[in-house]
Amino acid sequence: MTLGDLLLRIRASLFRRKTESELEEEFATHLEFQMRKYIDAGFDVDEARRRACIDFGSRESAREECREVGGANWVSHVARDLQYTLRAFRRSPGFTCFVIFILALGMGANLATFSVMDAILLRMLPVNEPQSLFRTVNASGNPYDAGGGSSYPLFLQMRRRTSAFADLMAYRAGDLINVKIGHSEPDRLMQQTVSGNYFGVLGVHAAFGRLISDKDDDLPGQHAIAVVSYRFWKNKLNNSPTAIGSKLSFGNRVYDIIGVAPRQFFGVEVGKIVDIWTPISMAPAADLGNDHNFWLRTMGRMKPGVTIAQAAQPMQEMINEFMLEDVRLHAPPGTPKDVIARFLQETRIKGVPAGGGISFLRRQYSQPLTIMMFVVGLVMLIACSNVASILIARGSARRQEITIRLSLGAGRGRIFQQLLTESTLLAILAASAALLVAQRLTPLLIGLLTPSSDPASLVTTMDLRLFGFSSFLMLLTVVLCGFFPAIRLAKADMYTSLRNSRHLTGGGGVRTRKFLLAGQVALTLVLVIGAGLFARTLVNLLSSDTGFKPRSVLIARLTLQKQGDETSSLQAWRSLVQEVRSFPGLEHASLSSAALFAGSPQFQGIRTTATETRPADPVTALSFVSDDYFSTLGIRLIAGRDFQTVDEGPQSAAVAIVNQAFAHKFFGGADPLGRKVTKMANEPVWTEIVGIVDDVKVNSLREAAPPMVYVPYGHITDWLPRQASPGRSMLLQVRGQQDVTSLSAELRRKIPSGFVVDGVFRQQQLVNDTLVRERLLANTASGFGALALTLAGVGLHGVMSYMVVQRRHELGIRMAMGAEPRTIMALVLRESAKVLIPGIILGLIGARLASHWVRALLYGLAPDDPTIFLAASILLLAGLLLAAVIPAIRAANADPMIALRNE
Amino acid sequence: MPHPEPKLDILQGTLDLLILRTLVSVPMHGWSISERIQQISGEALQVNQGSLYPALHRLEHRGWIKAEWATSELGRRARFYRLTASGRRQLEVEKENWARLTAAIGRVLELA
Repeated sequence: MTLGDLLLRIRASLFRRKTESELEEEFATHLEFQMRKYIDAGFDVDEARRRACIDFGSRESAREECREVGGANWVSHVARDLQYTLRAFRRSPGFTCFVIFILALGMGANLATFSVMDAILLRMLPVNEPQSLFRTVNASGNPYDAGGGSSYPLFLQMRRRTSAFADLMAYRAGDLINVKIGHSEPDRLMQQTVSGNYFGVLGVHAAFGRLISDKDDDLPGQHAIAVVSYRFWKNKLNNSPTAIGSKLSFGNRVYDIIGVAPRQFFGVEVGKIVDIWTPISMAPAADLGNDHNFWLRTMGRMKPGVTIAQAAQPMQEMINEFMLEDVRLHAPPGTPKDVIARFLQETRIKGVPAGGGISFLRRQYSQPLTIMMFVVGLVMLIACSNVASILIARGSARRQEITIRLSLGAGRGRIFQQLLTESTLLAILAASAALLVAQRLTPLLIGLLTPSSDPASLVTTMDLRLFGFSSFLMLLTVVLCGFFPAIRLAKADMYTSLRNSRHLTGGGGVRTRKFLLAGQVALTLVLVIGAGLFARTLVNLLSSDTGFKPRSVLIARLTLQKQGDETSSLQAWRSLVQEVRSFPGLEHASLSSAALFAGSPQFQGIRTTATETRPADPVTALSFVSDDYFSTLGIRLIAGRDFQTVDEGPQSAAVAIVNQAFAHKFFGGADPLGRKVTKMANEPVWTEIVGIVDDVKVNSLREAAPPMVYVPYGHITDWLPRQASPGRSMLLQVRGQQDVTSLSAELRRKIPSGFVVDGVFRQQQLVNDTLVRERLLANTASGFGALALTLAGVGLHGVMSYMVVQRRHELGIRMAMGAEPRTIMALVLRESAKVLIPGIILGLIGARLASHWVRALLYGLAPDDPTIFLAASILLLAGLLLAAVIPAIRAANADPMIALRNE
Repeated sequence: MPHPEPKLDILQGTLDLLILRTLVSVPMHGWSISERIQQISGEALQVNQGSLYPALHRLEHRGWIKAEWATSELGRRARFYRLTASGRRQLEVEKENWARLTAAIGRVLELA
């Protein structure tokens, strides 16, 4: 079909009446000429007209053919096909609903997964020209890491070097804080501290009022202003135009709202939706002046024509200068040059594009999401092949109708078109239903993705990519489900079909359906094996030894309200612990600087008095704790003693407790008790090792326990000189006697008023939260595996029932000749096996390949674990044979007389 | 009303070829084409006149001939068809196919 043809057809469809009249005129002219010929030959007018009409032939048939060629009929064809198809649907509503349900489920799952993938991995930030944004990450680290850390003085210096980039902005990672609007109860909202040019660099303009600008950076503490998000303004301020100027209070200050950010803007961290932005001048003065506290992250906009590497260059130089200066000032004399060189190497950075924003979700979820996409893709294929099989079966039943149509003169093209209309309409209806399914499924999926203690918020509105994807899905459905059945039917051989009534129900269809079914079985097996692998991984992880007892442990993050001097702070914390220990229902209570499974611990280079060979990287994890910490968490003390209250005083002798991994790494087989350790940098404070505890996993059930040094929190400055001692914030962990969930509210209430409770968590929840990915994969694969198994079972049942009906005659004869019902059953089951066995073999191969692909996500088992492969195959075989048993029994119990009589 | 026509029913492909050949020199309207084919073939091939028009329209859709309304010899408006460049090319192709076909048949008849 050429363009010209298409244009003519469109013209014919649109200007129907004109086209018709033109045709009539053409015919009329022709007849007139022919009449003239006869008149000239001597005939009278009426005779001439009669002869001319005879010569012309059937005008109606010529008209109809011209219409057909002209394409004017196209619209009426489509309309008629639609009418017919709708009637057919109404006649069998059960079938229609079933098919639409299956397709909608498959398409909806795909759409939901893709929109989450899109939101996390693919979308650009809703800012001006995101492709020219960049940030820096550690050169040797993962590009998905946050990176770009900087202190405030360093940021100001970097900003001045504007040769390679247009501008650089800084922000602190968004955090949840308690905010009071007016005089109401505090809400928990996401707040972000940003530099003055944050919005400028991003190219974002205020929806109302104004946004934070450079002039709000100048005087620290003088700009108590805030910009709020559009969502915040809509939900909390009720779209009120007088919102500008209303007050928010948090962090002991009152802020004026000066503007509202545009609707789509949520910050630069994908997975967080920021509600409030405040200027950097309002950050604590200590942080602003500290050039060693890398609490900010930077992001810049490149100048046109500059590469990312060029833009990152000045930043690398500045970091190098800073690090060299630091080493010069603080490295102990005699540190080997290669250690210094390696230290500097660690700080190398590289530039990466930042148009997509930053996301902790990407690192965690890019592979699992891809796997999920694969899983739902498989489910879609299974659903489509199921539907195709059903359509083929129904099509075969319509063979007689089709052949009659063909013999009456219908063109094969028209038949094909009409059959395709059916699957197209099904696809369109299913796609509409799928949109609803996806709408429900997407938030569910996002909820599954992230731990309940730190839920992610994502923007998943429809964009061009999503729309394109759903159209693609619809097209795929039409092609997969409708194309082949339609072609098969349209090619039907007229003569044999009409003559041979036994073939009315269509023989060739069964072979195709068996083929499809074998494919379905293979895909289902891949899913079931995947489910087994992921479920087993989850079980292995859950039952792995953490080194401590997380159940019954509750953790509260507390902040000291009034910051006094060191002695009074220490006293405050100490009396807090004493008081908490007197609460009923608690077995132990202690303090620590960080919680297990709540992020990476502090690592530091150290020196020891070990006389044996030093390890190549003398780095260990640090934890600052109070006495009774180990009993609270259930960590076993192996040798030596626990900390006592007396060890906490800053005047007391410096003591430390280490774990076995540490002893092994730094002391080989020797006993570390009595030996001394200190930090690597200058001004050593030699600390004696007085106890050895069991290893604990600190951040992930997969990673081995790191070497750990526990130090009383009163001595934190021996190791981190710039840290306040003790900190303003610490963690209180308690071990309860029974169920801790009820304890949580009670604890909140009873904490003395000098402390603010920032949050209460269960230790077990923190551990479980690290397993979200594994749980997601196990649940999804299992759920969809079960669905696929059901569909395959239904499919097999359908094909076998069909086959039994088809071969009724033959089976009837067999039974009449004396075959036992048992034999008939065996026959049906054998036929089923002929489909299942190749499917299973194919599935095993496919599963082997797929499991190899996901081996990084497995734990405690090999990707080709024979137990799981075998168990899955047996499960599948058993389940599907069960589905085939029903028609088998029916065949075996059939009355041979009825079977024979029924032709 | 359709009457059975005692004439040779020409295959669709050959009808196309005849139409293209007829339009080589001057544009003509439907009746002239039909007359011309009858003249040249010596009245042996009598085109079922009505079936000419679907063929003409099909050729028009293929882009091998182009149609225009103009005044005919009788004074009435008529649709004049003429060959396009691609139509000319198609004519050559069709002529060659026809020659090959007749040669093949001829060989079979001779040999058989």
